[in-house]
Amino acid sequence: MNKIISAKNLVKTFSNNGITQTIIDNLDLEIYENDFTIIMGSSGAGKSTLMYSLSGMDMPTSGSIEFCKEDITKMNADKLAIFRRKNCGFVFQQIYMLDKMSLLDNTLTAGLLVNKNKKDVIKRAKELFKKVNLPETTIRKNVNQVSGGEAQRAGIVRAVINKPVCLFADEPTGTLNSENTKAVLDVFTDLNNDGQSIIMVTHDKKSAIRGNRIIYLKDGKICGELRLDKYEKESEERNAKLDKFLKDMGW
Amino acid sequence: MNRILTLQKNFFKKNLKDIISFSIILFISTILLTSSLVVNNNIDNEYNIKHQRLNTANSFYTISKLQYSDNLLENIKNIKGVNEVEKQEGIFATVPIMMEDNLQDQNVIFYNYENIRKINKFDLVQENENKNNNGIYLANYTYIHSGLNLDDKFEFELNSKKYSYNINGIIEEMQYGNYNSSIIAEYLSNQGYNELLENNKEKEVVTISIKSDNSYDTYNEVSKYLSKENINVLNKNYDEQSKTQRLAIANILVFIITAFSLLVLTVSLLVSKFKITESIEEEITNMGVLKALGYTSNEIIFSIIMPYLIMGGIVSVIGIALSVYVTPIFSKVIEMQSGFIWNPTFDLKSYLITLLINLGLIFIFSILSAKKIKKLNPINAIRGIENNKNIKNYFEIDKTVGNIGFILVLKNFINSRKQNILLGIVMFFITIISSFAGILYYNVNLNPINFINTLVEEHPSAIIKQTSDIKEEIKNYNNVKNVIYYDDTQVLNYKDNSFKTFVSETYKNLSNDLCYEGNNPNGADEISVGSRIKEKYNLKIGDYIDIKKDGNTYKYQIVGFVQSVNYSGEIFELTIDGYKKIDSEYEPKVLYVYLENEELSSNFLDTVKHDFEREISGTVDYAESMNSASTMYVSLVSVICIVIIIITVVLIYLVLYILISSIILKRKQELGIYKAIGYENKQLITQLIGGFLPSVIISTVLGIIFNKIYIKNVFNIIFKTVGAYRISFNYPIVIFTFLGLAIIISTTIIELLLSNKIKKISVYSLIKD
Repeated sequence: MNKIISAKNLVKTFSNNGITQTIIDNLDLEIYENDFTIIMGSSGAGKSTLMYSLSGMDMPTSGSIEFCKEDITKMNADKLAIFRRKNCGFVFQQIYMLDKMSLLDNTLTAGLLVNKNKKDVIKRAKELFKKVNLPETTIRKNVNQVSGGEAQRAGIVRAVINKPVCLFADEPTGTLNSENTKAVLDVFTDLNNDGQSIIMVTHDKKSAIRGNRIIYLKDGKICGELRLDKYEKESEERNAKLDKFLKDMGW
Repeated sequence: MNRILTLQKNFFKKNLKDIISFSIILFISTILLTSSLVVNNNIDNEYNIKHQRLNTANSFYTISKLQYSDNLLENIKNIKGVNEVEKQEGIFATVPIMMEDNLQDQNVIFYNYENIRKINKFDLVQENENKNNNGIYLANYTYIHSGLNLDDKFEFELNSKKYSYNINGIIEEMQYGNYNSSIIAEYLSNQGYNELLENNKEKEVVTISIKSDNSYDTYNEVSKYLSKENINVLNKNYDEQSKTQRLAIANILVFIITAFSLLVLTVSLLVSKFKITESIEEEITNMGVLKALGYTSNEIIFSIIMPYLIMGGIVSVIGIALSVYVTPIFSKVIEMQSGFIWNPTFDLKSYLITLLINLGLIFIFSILSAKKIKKLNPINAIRGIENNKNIKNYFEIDKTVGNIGFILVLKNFINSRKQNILLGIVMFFITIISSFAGILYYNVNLNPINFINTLVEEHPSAIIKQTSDIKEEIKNYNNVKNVIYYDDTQVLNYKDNSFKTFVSETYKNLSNDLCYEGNNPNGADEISVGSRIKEKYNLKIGDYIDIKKDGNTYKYQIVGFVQSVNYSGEIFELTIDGYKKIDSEYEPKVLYVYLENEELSSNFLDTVKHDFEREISGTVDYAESMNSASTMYVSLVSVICIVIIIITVVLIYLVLYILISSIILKRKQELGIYKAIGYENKQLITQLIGGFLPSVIISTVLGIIFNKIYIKNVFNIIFKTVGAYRISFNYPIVIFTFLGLAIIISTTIIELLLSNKIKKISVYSLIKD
């Protein structure tokens, strides 16, 4: 298994009114190519903080993060931006689409940043939209004119348009109904099956079951890890393994 | 009501920096507007009060002592409308005086300081503790521009004799005041006066000062009488004309400042309107909640506009209070130009007008901006539908030609319509103001001849008064470009009034074409008429007018109209042949000499004086005089231009600050998303600046076009107020273009500096916030 991210002695603290709070506490972690890594944990465990630190979206207080053999903790904001556009894709709980643009334009705005060949990018975007079941008429709409599920699927397309090394998803189904949740998770599964490495933060079992590696965080430390096979379909055995793991973690 | 107060407080806190920017703009406009109103409202009144207090003549005439008789004074006393008459003896001479570091030939009447006078009294502004019997009391105007101190000597040369006086003091009188009336009065101590008179008996004059009820009518009546008596009037004037002449530049200054302050006020109102509209959009959910809770639209509107009204009120009061310190600067500038000392006093009327204009307009603009609240549907507002319902995806990326950076700039431009409209209007005004200052600077500082041509009459390099004809000899001198017979001492009688008449052998090769309509006279039967005479007698080109002399009538056809600021448009122009119709014996005695290199005028005159000692009765180094006169205006205009440039830059900065802060605040999340997907700061800054660039360029270009077409009219209007109908200004497109480019570049630099705030937006705060 190829290592794509390696974090060593990672510490992240926040200060508020003179009180320092440690969110990530001297954590070591490696992320592997082609894995669908799930980060779980209770509220305030540092799930999102860890994910955003690994992606270079946020800077750790100390420690190093090697991403594609580059120490991203030593990069400045603009270098990180260039790094992110090539290597990372992001899917947010709140979707965060540019609201004065269509879904297609949102995707092209990200895609054309890396690939200057407009035709190629448009072609890939349309293929991806087709893959996530968003028809031409929908992708020409603005985010406020489509459903949450449609917007989130478009968010995923935007995130993978540049074929990122790793796709980071922060509770992507947090605001969706069950029907849309399934559709979005299916897209993640398909992408992973096509070879896309994914790190997803979630506290939803239905989402977690899609991963093949589940990491459980507690007080800024990894307190457990579960390895599963690649997800093909839901099975009782897979569910039981996850339930037991989460129960052991005190979830 | 608590919720309203909370909303008000939140609104105030959230928009504090923008409200401060609005307040600074309003503050600048308040100070300028109050000062210009105080000056405008009071200068006239203060002038009249001082005029009355010093019992200044309503009209006066200076004639040679040789033509004066007590009988003449008695007859004038009996003219209808004359209430009081007084004569003062003086010495009238053209003497070179050091003004603005140059020797300037000035027409001066020296009076005896110790003579008792009931009319035309003066104020002693400063007195030298070390005064002596051979002293002079200088006119305030001379004192300001001569650069002398009380301890210095006032010196000049007259008829090859040097005179030196102790400066005993500085006086201010309302009869002459400054050089705009073409004569200035200085007052010598008894000993000094008698010594000067002893050596210049032929220059002794008598000034007849008249108090009357209707100055202009009486002025005309006395003029008619003197003309009838064949009295050669060396100088005459009446109070209204004198005031116009003295305050000409001051009036232009006040006009510019008032217009400029109103423009700045307009900008502050546009800014407040923009901010209120923006704030309503930002706070729309809160407003929906308030409406849902039962608050009326008026209550909510009140909470939004109150911070602007309160700040407007506070800033207006502070601005008005501080204008007390700024107005004296204006009055000092006016004093420099007019010689009229005036200390601005408390002027409640101007203060109230400013306060009323500020608060009234802020209220109206705020109400207009906040009216959207009345139409607000509370549920839509709470759901956020109100703000999003009209969002359209302009410039679809897959269908628009160009790279992503360019397309995003286009999207930015169209999505920032409101900001762009505001910026466009402000930039348009700023281009006009800057071009106005630029054109003023170009024509006064860089090409002073244009300004001089507008305000004065014919200006040769040198004037030679000859006793026998030496024109051909002068023509042969090195450096001499042209020599023309030109006489500005003649007077014509028309409709029982006498008018200054310029007589020239030709009007083709003069340095200043005074004609603003039709032509200058060419033939013996042609005449050109001054603007004031034209209006007074409703004359048209082609009309025939009758000029009377010694009981005979001479007919001339009007071929054109001419301007004259110094003589308030009361002039005629004739050719020598034309004048010879009236006086067949007439021989021109004055030569106007035009040099290739005017800087050598002094050397040229020295040589001529040496070569033609007997043939010359006097000379005037006109080039030198014009040089000094223009220096005075150059410093005045420089001050105006610097003030305009500083305020313009501050305005651009503040408006851009409000716009860019508002955009960054409004688009914080959007910018965070861009950063998250990999956009660099410089790309986002370029997008933001690029989004403004079209409106900056378009409005600046429109401003340039507007200036090219209309700025001439603006200057025409301004100068018409002082009687200049033919503006000799140039309006080079290169000035407009240069200023336009400077505005675009400086705006972009300011945008660049302000857009740096984008760097502070952290991607992570997008998720955390």
